[in-house]
Amino acid sequence: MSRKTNPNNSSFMLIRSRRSARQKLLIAVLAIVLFLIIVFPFYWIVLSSFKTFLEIFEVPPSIIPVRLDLFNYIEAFEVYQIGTFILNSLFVTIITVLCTTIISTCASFSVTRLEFKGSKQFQNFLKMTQMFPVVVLLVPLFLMCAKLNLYGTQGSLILPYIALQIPVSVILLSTYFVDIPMEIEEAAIIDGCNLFQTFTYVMLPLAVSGIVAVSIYTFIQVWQEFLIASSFITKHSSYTLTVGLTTFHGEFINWGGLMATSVIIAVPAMVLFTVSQDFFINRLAGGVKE
Amino acid sequence: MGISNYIKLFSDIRVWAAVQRTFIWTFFNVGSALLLGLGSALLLSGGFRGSGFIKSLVLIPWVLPSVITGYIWSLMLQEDAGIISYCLKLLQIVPKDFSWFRTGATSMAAAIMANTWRAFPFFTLMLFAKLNTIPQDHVEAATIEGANRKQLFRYVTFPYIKSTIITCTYLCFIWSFNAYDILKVMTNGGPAELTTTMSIMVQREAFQYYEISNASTMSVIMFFLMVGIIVIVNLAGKLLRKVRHV
Repeated sequence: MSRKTNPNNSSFMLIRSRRSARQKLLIAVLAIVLFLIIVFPFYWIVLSSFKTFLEIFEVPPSIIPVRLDLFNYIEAFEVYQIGTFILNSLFVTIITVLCTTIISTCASFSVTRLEFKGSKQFQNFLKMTQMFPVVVLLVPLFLMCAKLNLYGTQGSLILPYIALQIPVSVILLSTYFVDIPMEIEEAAIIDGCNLFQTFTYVMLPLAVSGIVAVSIYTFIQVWQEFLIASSFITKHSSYTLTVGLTTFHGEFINWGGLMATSVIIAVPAMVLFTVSQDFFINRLAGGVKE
Repeated sequence: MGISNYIKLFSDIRVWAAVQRTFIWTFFNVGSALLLGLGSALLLSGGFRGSGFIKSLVLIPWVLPSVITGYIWSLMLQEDAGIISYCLKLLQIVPKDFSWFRTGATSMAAAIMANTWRAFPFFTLMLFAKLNTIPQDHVEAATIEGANRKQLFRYVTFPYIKSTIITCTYLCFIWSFNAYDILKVMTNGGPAELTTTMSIMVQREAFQYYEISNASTMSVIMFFLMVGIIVIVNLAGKLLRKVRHV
């Protein structure tokens, strides 16, 4: 049951017709301010990515693009080896998303559909893990990775990421499985499906939109992770994109290249978010409140 | 071994300072994100032309990686050429030689601004979703009985969205308390450790100084502080409700 927002169902609708000119002006001003607060920093990232070093430090700063020159992007690829970081990030993210999705799909199916002893407690436990700060987990994770001889490799990112993402994914996916009517499952069993067949042939196709949405959420989360990546990855050639940003710090900060790389990092997340906007606004709102 | 780690840390003045800074950081972050989020949710729920468009943009800060948020705000707050500093100087709100990252208080304020920008859309969306489900008859009844805007908010809207505010505040508290990326990128704990929160300290002890035992002791303290606060606030809330009902 998705919560569609209905603009006519607003508490302030009634008063809307009685708005005076002054109130309208106030609302317009506030709306513009809000719009600028939201959009301006992002605009500034894109704008700065096209500026030369000197232009970035120009006083007064120019707020409209002078020209669209791609030299920062070219430099990021040729001098700073962003290409390697992109491949590293893609590798880590895709493996994590695949594993997380498979595990949490199975987990949320069993948690919501098979009533086993402690399934409720398990769900509550998952919600509690959301409280656990990653910084606090940093040291134990480090010790475990060192024991497994993974420290410094991408395996030291993938394993923690999977572990950290599974609870969220299970919580979100459970809301999808709960919505699937019991009758469909019963019909499948009557038709002679065993448990595994019910899961693969009946439940999976019905939950596929949810599974895709949750994978996208995982992708965005892992794609932008910085704390673990910057702590566990020591070799320059294994850097992920967000850690790669720190290579632009030298004697001075190469802001142009930094901003160009930021655009490269931000765009996939933005595109995925736009594709699944409905999910973000409705599902996440529902999932968090319950 | 054992307890001595804790004794060592508790007698370290730097740890206490970090605890204090973590509280300041968290308090202002949660407060400003809540105010900005509530304000924008109320504004958007008013339903004016273009409100749908703004609502679809509001997730930009939230989807943008926090490291990038830290970098863009430090660029915008640069001493001379940073667009915000430039405008503030042009309007003579701050003196000509003002720099955000020279003193602890202004560095902290700069990082809080960036973090608030990142955090407030969460409040906006959650509260907006809740505001849209307010039963119309409640609003109508209140309006017929002559409630003005302020009273409508005080007696109808606010009680209805209160539970959402509390949930979001909890989450924002947890996120802010543990926040790392933005502070790391914008101030790196400086100047002179004046923006070193516990998160920054734990990471630095473990991965720059390789003091694993210090870092893990501090992590434990951090965790129990956070849980302790949540439990205390919960109990206080329950007590308050009881007192009110008596």
